[in-house]
Amino acid sequence: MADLLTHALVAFSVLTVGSWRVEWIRKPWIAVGVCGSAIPDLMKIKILVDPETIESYLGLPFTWVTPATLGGVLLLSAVITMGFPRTEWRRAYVALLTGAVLSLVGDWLRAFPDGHSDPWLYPFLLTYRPPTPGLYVTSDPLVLGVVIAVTTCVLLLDRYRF
Amino acid sequence: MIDTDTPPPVHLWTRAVVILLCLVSLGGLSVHYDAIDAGKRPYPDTGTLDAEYEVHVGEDIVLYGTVINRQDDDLHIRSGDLTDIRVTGFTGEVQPGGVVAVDGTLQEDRTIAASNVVVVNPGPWAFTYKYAVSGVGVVFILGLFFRSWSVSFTDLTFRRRGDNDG
Repeated sequence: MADLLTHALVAFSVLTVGSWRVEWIRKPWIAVGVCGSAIPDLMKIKILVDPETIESYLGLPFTWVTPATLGGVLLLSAVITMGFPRTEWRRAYVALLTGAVLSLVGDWLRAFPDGHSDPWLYPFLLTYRPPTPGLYVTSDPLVLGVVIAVTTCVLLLDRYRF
Repeated sequence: MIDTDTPPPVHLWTRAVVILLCLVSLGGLSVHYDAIDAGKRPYPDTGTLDAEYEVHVGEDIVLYGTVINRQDDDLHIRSGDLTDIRVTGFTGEVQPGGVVAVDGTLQEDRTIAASNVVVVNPGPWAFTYKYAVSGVGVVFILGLFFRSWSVSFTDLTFRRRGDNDG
């Protein structure tokens, strides 16, 4: 999983570019989409709560991985959407889901040793691990550097061309 | 005249029910995902390898491990129940304490002939880097959000700053 700042900046850049064509994508909705980019990172709750603790309570197998799957982001985007007024639900959901899916796609681009990512399309494709182009590893500062450079270009274009 | 374009306000309990339904569904997925081993890769885990190593010699395996040391093109790594396993054919850069992901063929004498090694963390500093950068990400996300939105405690919703009627 790429670091949270990289995810956030990617969502910020893509939504800013989207705002050049889609009228309703204004700054508040870009901000909501950037929040959506953090949804897959909710799987990190496993650092605080061991899944085995949950398993012992439930008596069932359990994993914290699902926030980083397509099914997980569809549901968690809906949960967060409930925090917005009824009139804003559609836009909130679209913005949150866009940010979250961008993060999932960003993680899919990472390098995996056997060339296949985790099954992030679950539960629509249950165990399918898509082939990955293996473009980067999270710990490479160059990744963040490139994303910061692209974000800066987008901001400059947004400021001076539109 | 009734404004049909504006949806009626939603009661707090309705939102609570939707949230509960979504979280219960997510819980169901979290149980199901683990029950069917959706994330399991088709390779033996370190516990299995440690217990019955010879059975798997010659198989293709994938291991994530922490680097203990390096001797020329050989790495010695620690991975779960395997306290020291040799990885041959490594040509990249990694420090002791770094993490590698190895795809290769299991050989005798606790050795993997690597066909691909991904350096997940080049050194122990990489953990600090990732968490520090993610911390900056949290500040960026919250700062950006609360520049445009505030919390209305009367109906427990986010409101766009500058809007009086939502």
